[in-house]
Amino acid sequence: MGTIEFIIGKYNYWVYIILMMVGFYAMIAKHNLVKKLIGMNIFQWAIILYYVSIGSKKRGSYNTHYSKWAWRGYTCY
Amino acid sequence: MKSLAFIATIITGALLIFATVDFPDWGDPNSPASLHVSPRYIEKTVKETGVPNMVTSVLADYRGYDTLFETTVIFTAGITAVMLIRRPRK
Amino acid sequence: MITPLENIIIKTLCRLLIPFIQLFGLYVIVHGHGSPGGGFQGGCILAASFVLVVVAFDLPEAKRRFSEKLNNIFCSLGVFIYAWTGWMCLLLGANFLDYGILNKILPVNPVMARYYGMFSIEVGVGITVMAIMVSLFLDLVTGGKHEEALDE
Repeated sequence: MGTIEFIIGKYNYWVYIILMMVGFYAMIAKHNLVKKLIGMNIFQWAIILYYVSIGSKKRGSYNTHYSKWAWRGYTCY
Repeated sequence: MKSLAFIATIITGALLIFATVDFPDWGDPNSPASLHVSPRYIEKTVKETGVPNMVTSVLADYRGYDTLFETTVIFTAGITAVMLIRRPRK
Repeated sequence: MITPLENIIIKTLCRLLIPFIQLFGLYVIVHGHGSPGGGFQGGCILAASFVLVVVAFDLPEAKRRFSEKLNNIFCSLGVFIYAWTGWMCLLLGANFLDYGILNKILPVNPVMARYYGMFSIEVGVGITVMAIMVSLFLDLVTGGKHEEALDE
């Protein structure tokens, strides 16, 4: 099932792009300044989560050398 | 005005989703983001710098030049606020 | 524009609590190597202790403890410490911000010289972040008129 694998492999990028577009619409279409700032905050967090999701791997952990087993599979931050 | 913004948002979103067709899958261990230079940072951070925290060693030692200009940007933001908001005394 | 708070419970409690917040901020800056933290986070915590002084006490009380002239000096002192560390590496013969060469003036081996180079730049970043956040807060809360806001 090539289509199901394609959707499962890439749906994280699509979700973060939709969140980015919500923030982008709020920045350019609202007239109230506070609503524009809220849109900018949504846009900023969507970009941060997008970059984190590019580098995340299965069974990843936080990246400090607590023991010798920590190097096996971790999130690149 | 709002319908024009909506059309621009839809076009931008469609272009970005069209660009993700070539991206590696989610959690792929062979993606270029995890093979190019990050194994070297992860394996050699204690041996070369003596600091077990990888975030700090990348931020302050391997990529220290970027942190210098990030601090300069914070300084510039403070100066801009001083120039725009403070009023001279009479 | 800023009405002083006349509540004895809040004043006593904040007088006890503010030194511990500052101590925790210094702890976060210094322990950036072994646990999550570093210069930026510790600088924000130090600035938060100053905001508590302004909120719980009066504005002249805050100005008496951290004057505007000292604030302006601290803003640029942090960036100066950062660039000075890089420039010392350049004077001793290596590239800019290459801390391994600092073992010629510090009595450690080259691996630990990078450790102490990273520590000095985190101190610089923490000082700049704290001073800028205090300056931004005072600008916004008095509306630009620092000395005339006290007369109203």
